[in-house]
Amino acid sequence: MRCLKNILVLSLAFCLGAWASSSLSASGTSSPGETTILKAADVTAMLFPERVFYQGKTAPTELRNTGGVRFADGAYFLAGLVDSSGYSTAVRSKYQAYLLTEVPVQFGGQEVKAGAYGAGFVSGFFVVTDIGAHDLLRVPSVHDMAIKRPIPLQVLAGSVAGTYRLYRGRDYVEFRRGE
Amino acid sequence: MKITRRALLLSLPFGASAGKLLAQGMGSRRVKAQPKLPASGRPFNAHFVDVAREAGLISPVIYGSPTQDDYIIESDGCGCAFIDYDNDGWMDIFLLTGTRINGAPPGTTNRLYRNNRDGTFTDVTEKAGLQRVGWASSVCVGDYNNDGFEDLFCTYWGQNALYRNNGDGTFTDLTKQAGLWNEGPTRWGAGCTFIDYDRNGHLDLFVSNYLQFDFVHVPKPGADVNCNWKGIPVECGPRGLPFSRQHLYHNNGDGTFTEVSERAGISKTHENYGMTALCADLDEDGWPDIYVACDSTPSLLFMNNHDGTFREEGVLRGVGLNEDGMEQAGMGIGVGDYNLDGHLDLYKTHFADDTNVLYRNDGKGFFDDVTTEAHLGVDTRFTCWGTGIVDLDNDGFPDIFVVTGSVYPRIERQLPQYPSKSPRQVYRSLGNGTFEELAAQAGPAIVEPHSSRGCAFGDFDNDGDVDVLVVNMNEPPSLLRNDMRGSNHWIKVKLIGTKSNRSAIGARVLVHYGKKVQAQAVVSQSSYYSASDSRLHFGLGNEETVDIDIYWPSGALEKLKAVAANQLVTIKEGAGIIPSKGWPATKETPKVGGNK
Repeated sequence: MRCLKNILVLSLAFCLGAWASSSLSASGTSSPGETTILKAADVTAMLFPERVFYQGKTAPTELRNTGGVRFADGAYFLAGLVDSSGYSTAVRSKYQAYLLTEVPVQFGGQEVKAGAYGAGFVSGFFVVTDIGAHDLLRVPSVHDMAIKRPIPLQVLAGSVAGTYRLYRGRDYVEFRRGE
Repeated sequence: MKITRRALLLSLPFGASAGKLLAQGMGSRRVKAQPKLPASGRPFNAHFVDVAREAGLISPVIYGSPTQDDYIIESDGCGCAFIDYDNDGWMDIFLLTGTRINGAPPGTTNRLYRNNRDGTFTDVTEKAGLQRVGWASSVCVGDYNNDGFEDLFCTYWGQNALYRNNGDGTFTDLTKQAGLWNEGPTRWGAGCTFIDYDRNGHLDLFVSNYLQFDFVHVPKPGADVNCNWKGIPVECGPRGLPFSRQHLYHNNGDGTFTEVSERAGISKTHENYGMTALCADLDEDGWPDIYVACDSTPSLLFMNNHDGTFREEGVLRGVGLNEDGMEQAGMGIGVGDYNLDGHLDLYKTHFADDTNVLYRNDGKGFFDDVTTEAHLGVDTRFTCWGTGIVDLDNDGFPDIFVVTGSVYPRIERQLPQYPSKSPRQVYRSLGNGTFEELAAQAGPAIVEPHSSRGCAFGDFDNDGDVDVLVVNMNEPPSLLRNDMRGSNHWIKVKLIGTKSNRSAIGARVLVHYGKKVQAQAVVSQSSYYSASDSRLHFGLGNEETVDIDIYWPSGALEKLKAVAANQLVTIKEGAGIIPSKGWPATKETPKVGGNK
């Protein structure tokens, strides 16, 4: 009888585990221990807000133009385009995307801590601002003429392991998880 | 970690799986114009003069407030058509109209003008039974019942309308009887095109819808941060307003239609602001495909699966986004063969601060954005709408024509660089894959500012060149008569289907002249929300004879050899050339050029 009970418990645990696993797969996330690049289809409204606050206003995001990285320990780095058309020209020029990161990340060797930021590609540079529109870092970006069929925003693997590229069309900046 | 391009593209959320879009404001990339090259100094033989008033086109197209739009429904405007409704061989004119929030002025209506064959037109709207006032969007033309008379389908915010041409100068609204009446929530019908997607000889119908709109829920200008443009309050939308869906209706062959959007895979895409719709065989597999210009979202390319279904591959095939991977504010579509390689290329118009885009077709339905190499990114000042890839000067090299106009009539007071009314654009082909923008050199009508929307191309005076009909917001239309100089030759091709649908919509025609070959397609809608002369016009330069290949919608291929230039050839499927109606010139008495 005790043996049967153990089998039932184990079966239940297995089923729950399988259910949990299938739920993760369905949402496009990976199992723990594996770093995964996230495509827009993976970034649902559960992960990324549909409206974000920046310089005294909220603006809508474009969930179809999002991407990110889910690191092996489950921490997220997420990026999504924002419709900043309601902002002044000066703000719009550098506020194109919203970044959410649960861990420090480095762009061109400069680090931003976990938090929410504005970002944009401006004349050959990648600019990160705080949500008050104050510049935090400015690093050179790369214009990739080789990429075929670019899309508005995506994250791809970087040139070496552990690095990633945040693309806005053909422009990209390479980043890695910080310390 | 490696992501192939195909895997990546297939995983993108441009289909059914994306999250909600809650952005706002017309799409604009804020790009700088490409530097212009030095003027070529070549003469341009086309010369456009606006003769609308002399022709009797004096009634304004009413559309929203002339000075201040509060809702996006006031700003998108409508289209027009060249249609030979009485089969006399002369292009008549059909003009849509809108209304105003507080009611349209007396006399506002859609209008049908009969061609008097002397450069003037007579308003026959009432007699024809085509009076209607409402928020009209687009018109597409096709003989859906194969009775030999072209019918009309018009889209609206509200009920769309199917007008059967009775063949006696009148039309009957058969929307309900045909099964096209919408019993559900109000839709904003946008683009439309007749298409025989199953090649059974009966024209089916595709309708794009722009977005979900009502006057109760849409905020007023400046109501929040999303109803602003460059920091100035403007009408809200399209971004921030809910998406709508595209619809496909199958022709039952008995005068009725059945909606097949879901079964055909059309309704899978539902996160796009659909506008102008185009039906053409873009991958040259003998089956018609559908391209939809979409505002502020990826444009759609529905590829025909040959089994009654479609697959959407706009991004995969390079016409969903531009070269830089950016969404654009797709408004109008031109289709033609700019580089004379025998394949149908596409040209799509966009918002101010962005370039229109020329997509080069590789013949298999894959496209490259060649805007920059074609020197077409030289003017980003204006919001662009109606367009066509048409040979304006009959030199044998198709040119590009564009009409423009702001959607924000009040904004010029604060930002004078965005005028409410703006000129037309003519890009003359230099014959080497590049273009040169012309202004007054193409005639006074090109530089006259208007807030234009739809335009249609056709030869209203049957003189062997391409004229242009233009919808202007809250003004009478423009009728740009092409007073061509020089002695270039031309040929027009009119197709009549027998096994194919009678309008031959979906046919692809190759005309060989000299060492050149040019592709054109018979379409039901193009430009912006408009329908052009169904007689395909080919400029030939100095060539005096042509060979013609006709790829009929039925799948049949017909070839004609050594056809004389400077005439309209009417070709009936399976029967070859038959006498043309209404055309004064014959191959025995060639009329050279298009001189007035």
